[in-house]
Amino acid sequence: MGTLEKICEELSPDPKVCHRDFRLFLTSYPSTNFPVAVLQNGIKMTNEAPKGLRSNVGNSFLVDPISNKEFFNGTTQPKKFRKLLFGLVFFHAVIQERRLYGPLGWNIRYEFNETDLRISVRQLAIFLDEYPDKTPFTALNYLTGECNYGGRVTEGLDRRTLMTILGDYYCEGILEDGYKFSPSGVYYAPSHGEYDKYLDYCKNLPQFPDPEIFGFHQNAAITKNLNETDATLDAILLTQAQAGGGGG
Amino acid sequence: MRAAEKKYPVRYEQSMNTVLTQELTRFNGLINIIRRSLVDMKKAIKGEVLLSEQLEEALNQILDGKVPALWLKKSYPSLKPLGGFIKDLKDRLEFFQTWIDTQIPEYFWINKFFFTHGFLTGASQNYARKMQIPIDTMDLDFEVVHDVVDLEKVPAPPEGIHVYGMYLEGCKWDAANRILGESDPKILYSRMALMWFKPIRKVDKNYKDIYQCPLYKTTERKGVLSTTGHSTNFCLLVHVPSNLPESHWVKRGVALVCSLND
Repeated sequence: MGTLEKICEELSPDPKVCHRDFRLFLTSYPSTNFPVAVLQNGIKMTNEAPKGLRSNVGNSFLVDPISNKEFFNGTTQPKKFRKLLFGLVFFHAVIQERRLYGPLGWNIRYEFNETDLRISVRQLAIFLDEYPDKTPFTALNYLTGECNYGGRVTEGLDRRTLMTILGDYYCEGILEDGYKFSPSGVYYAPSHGEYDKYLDYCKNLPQFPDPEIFGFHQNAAITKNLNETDATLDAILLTQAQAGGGGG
Repeated sequence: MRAAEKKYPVRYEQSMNTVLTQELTRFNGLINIIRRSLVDMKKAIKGEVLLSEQLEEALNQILDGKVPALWLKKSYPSLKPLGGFIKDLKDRLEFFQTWIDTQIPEYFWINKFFFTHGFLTGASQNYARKMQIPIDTMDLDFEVVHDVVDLEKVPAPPEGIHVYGMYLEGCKWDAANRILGESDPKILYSRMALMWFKPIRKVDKNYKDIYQCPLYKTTERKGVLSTTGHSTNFCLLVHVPSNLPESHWVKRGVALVCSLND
């Protein structure tokens, strides 16, 4: 990183040294060592949330309230709580990633976000503490699915999809250790453990998830890739059309 | 248009006549705008009239191989490129021309209609009037017609309509087992078999061993509510036989669509 900083500083706006069409584009993973001076000299900067199921789940564990040790350890039923918590975080990631599949995933592209997760996590903690004997799955499903996340869903059939998916994560089954989220068995809620154990599990998830975890057929990957290609090519076309317009 | 109205007058027993004339009105509107804009474009290119902003936009879209927005405003929803759109339009017109020239079809291509809801209501209405029962106590039930060898030779059903021309997205129709099955690798859309939309009383509708599969006009799926209270894209839930729980197909995102994107 030090070398990078040095290279950047040696660049001079003087046209004798640098070609006038010279531009420098940089992309980087989040890094604590990234030189501040380079950022400050940048003309434009964008920050994009990490894509993919793995980083989505991992990230959720790194932000408040889950990252808060007091909150994470502060429930009266840690075993149930951590299982369901993991299920919820996973659900959150799955419904967000489903959006990449276009209409196959959701009819309308909803902006589910951190706040939905945050409130649902807190409700989960409250409900488990209040009802130690029997976990109120119906109430949890209703609050999380219909109210928190469902509040964004404006289409009847998308709601059906949402509730169906949630039903896979908020259910009796998830409390057992053998419960898998999808037929491949790669995804499951890790057995009871400390906070770091969950982070480690997330780090070892596949980088490119198979469509099966979303409940899709393998073909859905084709649909998704087609969508992405179309979007890219459309964007390229857009720049061309403008150039052509200038000439004509 | 007049001739068609004469041949298929508004009659109590046959609501499809009304459906037909309404469809024709819509198609005429679309053809008119297409013709007018093309004539104007020709003139503009020659320099006889001013090239308006609207025309220029349409012209550019045609050059890009897209359907001009000007036409889409008057058109049924379509995601097809220009070539596919014109071919589709011709097919649709042909379907209605045959209907006008001969008689009411024995099976219907559902992807030919402008206003699918009206067509489906017409089917229910015929039955309601025949049986003298209120239309709001009625619903449509669905049955797949098996072992169709020649589509043209299947006689029209006693009640309701035979519907063809739907595509399944996210799964396929397993004709051998007569249920929904998993898609074949790399085949994204597959044809749905001929279906019988059967008007029945609401209370008799079957909810067992089926998947309530939404039917959309285009693969975009999302629509807005129109002034008639219908969605511009969603038509209805079709019950399709399945031996798997509904949740399986819901997560697969399975739907029926009337028209594809090519």
